[in-house]
Amino acid sequence: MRQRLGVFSLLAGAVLALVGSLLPVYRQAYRLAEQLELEVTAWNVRTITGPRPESDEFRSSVQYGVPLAATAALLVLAVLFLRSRRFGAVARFLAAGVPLMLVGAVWVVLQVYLRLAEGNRRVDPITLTTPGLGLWVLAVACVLAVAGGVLVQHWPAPEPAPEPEPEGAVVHRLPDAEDHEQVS
Amino acid sequence: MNPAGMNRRLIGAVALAVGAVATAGGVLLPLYQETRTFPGQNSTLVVTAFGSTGTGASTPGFGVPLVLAALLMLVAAALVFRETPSTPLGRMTAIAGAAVLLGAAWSVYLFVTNLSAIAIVSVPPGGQLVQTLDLGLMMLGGGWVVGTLGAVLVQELPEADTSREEWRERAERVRETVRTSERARVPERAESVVPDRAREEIPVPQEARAAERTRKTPPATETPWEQPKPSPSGGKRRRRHALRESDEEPENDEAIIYQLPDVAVDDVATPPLGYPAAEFGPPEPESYGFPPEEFGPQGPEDEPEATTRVTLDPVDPPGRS
Repeated sequence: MRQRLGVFSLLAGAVLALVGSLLPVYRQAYRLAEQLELEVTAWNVRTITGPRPESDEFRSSVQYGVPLAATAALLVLAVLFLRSRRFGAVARFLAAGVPLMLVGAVWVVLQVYLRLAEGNRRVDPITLTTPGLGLWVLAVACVLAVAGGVLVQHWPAPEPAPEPEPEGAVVHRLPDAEDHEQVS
Repeated sequence: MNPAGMNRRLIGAVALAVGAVATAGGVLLPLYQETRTFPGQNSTLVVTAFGSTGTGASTPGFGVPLVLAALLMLVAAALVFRETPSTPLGRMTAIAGAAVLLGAAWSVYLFVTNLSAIAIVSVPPGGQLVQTLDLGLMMLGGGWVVGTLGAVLVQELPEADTSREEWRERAERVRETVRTSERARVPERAESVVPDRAREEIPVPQEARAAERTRKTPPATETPWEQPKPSPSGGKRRRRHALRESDEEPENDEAIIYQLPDVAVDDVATPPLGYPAAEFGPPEPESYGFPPEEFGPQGPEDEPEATTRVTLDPVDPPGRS
């Protein structure tokens, strides 16, 4: 049961990590002479309003999606080999490590967002940065993956409870019990 | 743990410590430097994990996850250095540290390379840009490699060859047990099914009664073809018998009653005088001896006048419907 829950959590974490990398991580609105709004995902930058930026600064973006996709792939790999007799230990190693790799990658994205959001605290900010859905999805993916990685580990079994004393009458079932029905 | 495993663990612990120190160095040293010599503008930018200094400096601080990773690896190295109850915890901590470092350092690397790519395209004509991916990034990468090596080395690796040998040995033992038990069971089992076959041949109840009588004689004399012979088809024979047994109707005209000492016997009906029916042959009075004498008197139903009160349809004896 615990193992199954862990596998489900790992898979859900992998899927959410992929989905979160495709969703916008944060939005930026520039208060310039002309309105400019951007949506930054882990793969690219999209213009919502305003002119399509000519500068390469907007076209090139940090490919945070690469480690996120690698994490998702490794999580799926870990789940696939979890039951394997030969690679089970490697799969558990991956299941323990890869969720934390996801945490590290998402943490850096969060730091980038926080740095950009600092500008909002100025009195007259030029840029306004708001978090996107992708950030929350990635956070949930981290939690699920870490929980799954913990659940699928082999923990030492707890002390077995002492056998309860049997109560009530001792009933012996005889081998050919059907014969009784013929008579009674 | 064997000496080789202990050595491996010690080497892993040292590697973890080295990785932690390298990561700490990567956090402190600059990750990226650039010098712009543009017409009318000279500037330098130094990016570290705790922010950046210089013109256009607005990089986020990546220090927290990286420092956390270094601390985890350091703690893991301390925990696994000696074989203590907390060594398993140290193993997990080692994995955690190396993994957090990988995720964070990879993203930091992507951020820094993107920064340098942006800087390249912003160079105006006539300007000069000198970029350096600095020592900090190298130390983060090296720290990750060494730390991961350590995290793998401190794990309890399954010793594949010995375990496989052991499995083969166990399988051989089980196979041997099965073989010997089969050999021991064959004759006894064949003997036990012989009466079943004899009973099965008789279709009508009168003859069933006769078959019951013949069953008391040793079956070897009348059915010699059914003798258990140690032939290779013994297994098939047995399977056929098993199938017939399940198909056979449970016919028993002599009831076997097991009585447990503390069970109420009120509902166990004594067979009436009209049973078994006349066509079953002369009644055998000894079959009515229920309950047996050694059980003693069983209650008011055992009194003679109580027995006469029981009236049941002789055509439909109890238990037959």
